[in-house]
Amino acid sequence: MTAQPFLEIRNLTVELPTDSGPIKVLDDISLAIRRGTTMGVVGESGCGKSMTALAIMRLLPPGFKITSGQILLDGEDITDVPDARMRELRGNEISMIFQEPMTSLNPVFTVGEQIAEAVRQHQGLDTGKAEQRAIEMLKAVQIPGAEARLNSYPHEFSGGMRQRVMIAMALACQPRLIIADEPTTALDVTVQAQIFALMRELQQETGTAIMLITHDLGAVAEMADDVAVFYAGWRIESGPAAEILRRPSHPYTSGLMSCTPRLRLGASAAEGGAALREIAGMVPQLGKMPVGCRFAPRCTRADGYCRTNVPKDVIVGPQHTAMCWKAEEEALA
Amino acid sequence: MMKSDPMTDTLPPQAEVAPPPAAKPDHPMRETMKIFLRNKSAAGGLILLLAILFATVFGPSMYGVDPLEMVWVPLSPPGDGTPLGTDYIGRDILAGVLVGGRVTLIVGAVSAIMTIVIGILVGAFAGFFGGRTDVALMKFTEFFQVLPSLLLAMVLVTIFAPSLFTIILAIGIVGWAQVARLTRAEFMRIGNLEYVKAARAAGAGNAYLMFRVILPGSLPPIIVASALVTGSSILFEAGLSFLGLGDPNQLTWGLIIGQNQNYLLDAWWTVTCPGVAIFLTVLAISLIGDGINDALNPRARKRA
Repeated sequence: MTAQPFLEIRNLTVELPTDSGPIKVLDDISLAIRRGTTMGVVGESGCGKSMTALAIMRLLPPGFKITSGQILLDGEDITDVPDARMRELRGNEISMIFQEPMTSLNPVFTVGEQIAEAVRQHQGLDTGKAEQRAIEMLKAVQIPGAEARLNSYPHEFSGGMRQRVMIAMALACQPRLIIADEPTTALDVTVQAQIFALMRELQQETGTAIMLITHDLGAVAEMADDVAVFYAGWRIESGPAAEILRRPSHPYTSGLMSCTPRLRLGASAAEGGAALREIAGMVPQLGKMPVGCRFAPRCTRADGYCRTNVPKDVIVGPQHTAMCWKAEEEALA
Repeated sequence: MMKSDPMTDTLPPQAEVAPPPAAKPDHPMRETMKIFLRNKSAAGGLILLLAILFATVFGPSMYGVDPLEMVWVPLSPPGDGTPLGTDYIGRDILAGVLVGGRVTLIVGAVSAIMTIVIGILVGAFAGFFGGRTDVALMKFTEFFQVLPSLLLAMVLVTIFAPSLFTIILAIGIVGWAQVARLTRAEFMRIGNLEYVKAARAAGAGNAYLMFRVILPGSLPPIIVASALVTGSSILFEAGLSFLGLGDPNQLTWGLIIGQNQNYLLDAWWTVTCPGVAIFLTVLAISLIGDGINDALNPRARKRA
């Protein structure tokens, strides 16, 4: 449980320079992912989840800069390694599964060519062996008739199968960290469950760490060992998944949880089934952040102090931290 | 180039575990070929071009008349001693057309290749890197686009003595701008697609991304443009030769027309025969280009 983390982000800040001064897209983010475990990263759209992933890959969009902090991959700070070293790491050590399986594969090459190419480039296998490896990988992600499907083009696959191909590609070089950026958002619920089951199975076999970016707390409950909750560029809560889902400390996390529908047969408002709640308001615009706690304007528990003072990341339980004045009060009480 | 049918994307999960369909769809290249050949005008163009190629490659030795030799009475009409008549100094027009085609086609093809290679390189760098590289390269491209191309080619050929090489160079230099703009547009479109990001995340370097990931996807419009560029290169070569800026040691269609222009009203065959040859060649290439366009265009594909 307490092994040295494979990926550790320390006080990462990413800024976007604008005419009216730099905007902090990520503000002092810290998180750690242990080997062979899954970290669920949750939060609303635009709160910095994907930015964190892109920062780890060093693929931030033009203009965005890492201004401070460290990203330690197995002890190596990758925020300032040369591009050539970074290209080596990408695909080999870290690989990424994107949100859109429909467009993440190159339409002009067969899936076999694409998987084999990745293996050839990274592991220096010859064409025959690379093809063999591609077949193995397609089998591993349970694509029926792998040998025949090798020569299929992406458009001949359904969305779920394409995402499996993406996973096959991501796993082909046996990376030690996979960043999955909302890998199932574009898929049917049933397919989602299959993909998660597959990822878990492969994780058990290969011992790879997974960073699962999602806004679906159900997915987190199913997949994650640890959770980091992001809000408006802050990592506002982090800790073991079981702990956080049982006793969320940050009002935002509990808010998110009460937004998640729970299906119960025959439940209606009269019988005690509560109507789905929402968190009032919107994520503040970047560059127009409130002075104090960034969640305060939407928080039901916020008071004057919250609105003027930036909360600190405090320990509220075993390996469980939250950035909230109220949580701090409760932890001290 | 292959937009998937939305129907297949929402297949129920049980369809995923079904074995792959027995009849595997054709390789896209073969499918494209089929659609191309089913198109009558495209197939006609291809046959015509093959016939012209055959005639220029094997024609001269089969016909066996030296195109530079005085063989008959000057300006004698077709059928009167020679099949297509003679020019102003009694050279056989048919022999000239057969031999002249070689140089014309070579110049057309080589300069088209040059145009396309320069165009793709400039466009690829501009579209891929964007920013200042893009601005600089596009200003450079615009410079070549606004220059009157025939005039520039004439100047280039006159400065460096007219030879096959300088003519090819001149045509290549004046024609690439359009291909560059097209390539740049395609690179900008495809460069933003998810699969390029995915390839980058998988560790691909810039050169690999440009030429192995993005270029294959952007080829269809470039191939179509290439066909049109080949046609215009041939016209260009003919134009230069006609103006007397061709290589004087090489017989070309344009040169035959240029040399006989004074006799245009008295001996129509001297200019008409090579003229028709140019016309048919460019027509054939244009038809092929249109056919490729239709075959590569997904909307046309559905119609077929």
